[in-house]
Amino acid sequence: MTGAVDHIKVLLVDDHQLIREGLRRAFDRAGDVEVIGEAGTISEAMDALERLAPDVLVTDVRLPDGDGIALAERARRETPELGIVVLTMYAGDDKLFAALDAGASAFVGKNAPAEEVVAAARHAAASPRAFAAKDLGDAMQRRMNAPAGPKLSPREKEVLQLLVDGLAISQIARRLYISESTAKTHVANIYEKLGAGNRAQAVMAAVRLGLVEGREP
Amino acid sequence: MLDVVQPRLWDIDPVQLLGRRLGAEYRPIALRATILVIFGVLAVTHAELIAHDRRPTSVDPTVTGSVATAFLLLLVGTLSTIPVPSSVPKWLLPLGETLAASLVVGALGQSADQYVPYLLIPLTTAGLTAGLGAAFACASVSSLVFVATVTVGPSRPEFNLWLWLSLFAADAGVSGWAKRVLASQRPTAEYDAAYANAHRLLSELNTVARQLSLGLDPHTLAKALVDDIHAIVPGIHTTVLVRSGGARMVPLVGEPPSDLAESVVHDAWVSADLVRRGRNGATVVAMPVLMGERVVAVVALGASSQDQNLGEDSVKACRATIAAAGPRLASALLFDDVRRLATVDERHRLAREIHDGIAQDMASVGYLIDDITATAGDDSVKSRLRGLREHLTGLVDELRLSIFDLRAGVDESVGLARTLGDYVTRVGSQAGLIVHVSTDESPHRLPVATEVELLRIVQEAVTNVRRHAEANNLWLTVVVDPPRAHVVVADDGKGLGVPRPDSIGITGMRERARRIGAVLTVRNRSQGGGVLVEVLLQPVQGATSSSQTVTDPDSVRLVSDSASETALAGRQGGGPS
Repeated sequence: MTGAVDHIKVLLVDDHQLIREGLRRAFDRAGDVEVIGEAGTISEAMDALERLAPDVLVTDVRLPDGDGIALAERARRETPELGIVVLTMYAGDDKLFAALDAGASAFVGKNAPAEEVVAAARHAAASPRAFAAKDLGDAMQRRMNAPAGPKLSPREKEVLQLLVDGLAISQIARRLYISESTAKTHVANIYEKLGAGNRAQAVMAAVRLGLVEGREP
Repeated sequence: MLDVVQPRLWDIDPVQLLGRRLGAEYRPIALRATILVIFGVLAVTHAELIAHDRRPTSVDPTVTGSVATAFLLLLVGTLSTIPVPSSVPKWLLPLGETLAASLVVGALGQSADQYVPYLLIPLTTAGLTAGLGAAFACASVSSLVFVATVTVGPSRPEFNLWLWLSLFAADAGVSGWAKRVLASQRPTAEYDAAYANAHRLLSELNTVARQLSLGLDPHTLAKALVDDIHAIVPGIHTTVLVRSGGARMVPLVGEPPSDLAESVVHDAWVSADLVRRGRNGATVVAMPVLMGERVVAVVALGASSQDQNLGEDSVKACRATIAAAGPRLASALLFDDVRRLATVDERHRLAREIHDGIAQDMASVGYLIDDITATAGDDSVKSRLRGLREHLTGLVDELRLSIFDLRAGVDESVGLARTLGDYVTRVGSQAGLIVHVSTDESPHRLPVATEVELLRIVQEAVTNVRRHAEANNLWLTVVVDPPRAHVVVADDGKGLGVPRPDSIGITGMRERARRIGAVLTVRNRSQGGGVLVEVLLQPVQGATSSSQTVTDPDSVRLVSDSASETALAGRQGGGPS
């Protein structure tokens, strides 16, 4: 971090001016945070990041010229110690996990009170590499509760079953009305998901995980 | 028919008004007649005005000659605007008209002078329809005729030959150039023709879709086809398969094909011809449903033993029935596709609009309330503001879920049961419900349109639970075994107080269910309170080989008293449980 240690310098990125204004007021009230810049687009944000060197970047997910999560990822690559708070109006878990993968420090829904955004910015400044999200526990649980084991698509399951049945790739392709190269792609994906290096290992793994049924000859 | 490319000149002419009433094919002749009348009248009145002055000759011969010329020219105009086949070159009629009109005007001498401007019409037509070359050819023809008639014909002191020759040349140049500019400004005629064809097809489709009592619904049409086939070969196993997303064959009506049938269906699809194969006493005949050269679906007939008759005659009769159904089914599938794409587009647009508009505005109002709350001195005001903030957060939550619902769709790589399970888990847990999901999914898929409708029904059911039920638990049971599916959403909330069969949500669900040929039941659970929404997709026709059942222990528990429900009457056809 550079500059004053007592003030957290924040760059606000959102294309809605009223949102930026509301958040700026909240940061002003906090006392220990200072909004040093605002941006409405990704390009403005990249420019401001370089020019102003903030401690924390607060960005929306949907911006007119691109994806806020991509911005977070880029900013993280360029400034490993930057605090990043991702704001979103989207409700799905996928954005939360995308923000986590992008290296964000915190993830806050736009339904949450402004104080939560301020708290997230403080957290981001203090420990930029530790991901915090109110919904993280629930989302993790939902992800855990999803069917256990490798997630094969229904198509991959079909291909796997045929592999276990001993069909050659060309036969599989014919049976499923797909091209041979598509069948090969499916097989490669199955090997990867099952951690197998060849057909025998894939069949072993499939049987062990109960992914296939024995078929009468 | 006249040429498709009507000269643009008509569009800016006052004659257009008249032409509109007359119809497009009379516009060119109307224009000519108008020009002739205008110049004829002008010339006569002009001659009367100057008659006392320079030429004390009688007016009558001029008028007579003038009228005669006008009639001759009108005849020429009529002949050269008659409809011709499009194989006739475009330059031919204007050139002929130019030649004839020049001869008439040139030969009649002075009494026809006022009609020389008429020649600009075929000239301009030649330029606008056939281009620069044709226009100059016409200009040259009329120039030659005039030079000849002025030199050898009757004397015409008032005729300014050079003025007219240069006018002809200028008109040819301008109209030929105008054609080029117009052509560069708009797509080529072929493009126009393609669009015109597409438009005609779409409007026909629209009309047909409105008029048909069954609409253009692939399921209904496929079912009707299966019924027709059963009338020819009773008791045969019939499956109508279509291609869905990528290369997957999906049964539209009937059972998923057996291994034998699968290879036969594949061969029928590839060869676009009838394929017949037998193994261990079982016979499968697969016939393509064709739209022109293209295979749009395959009908598979399966006979398990010799007693079922699949002889040449009945196969031939089936083939004729299928051939007749081809265009209908193809149109219905296409229409379905168009409708689905349009719907997805519109849903995404709506989601964006809510996301970028009202949702952001409400969020910013929330931040504003936060600010006022922080600076408010009075505790009672503060607590009221907190209440307001809570309410607003709830509203923003609703909007977020609406956006989520609008954007949600079914995925080619993820099964329907999984999609529904993920959705219910996500939304249910956000609403503080304990979610119980039980799924059983076959590797076969339902048609995309069916999967989408089932997702929307579940979305609506869960939204109702979230908003009205005050429930603790939410159960989702999904069994997918194409062509059957059974989806149950249940809660332990306060139930349906007064049944409201007309509520918008339930009406919408019912319409969606009807569209995919499923039966929707909404009622209070028999035990433990709460509401149960059940969608049963159970083909009544074509499900003759079923020994499987769509019910599982969970759904049996949930719908234990459903035997009395008329809505489930179709279930009895599905075989023993």
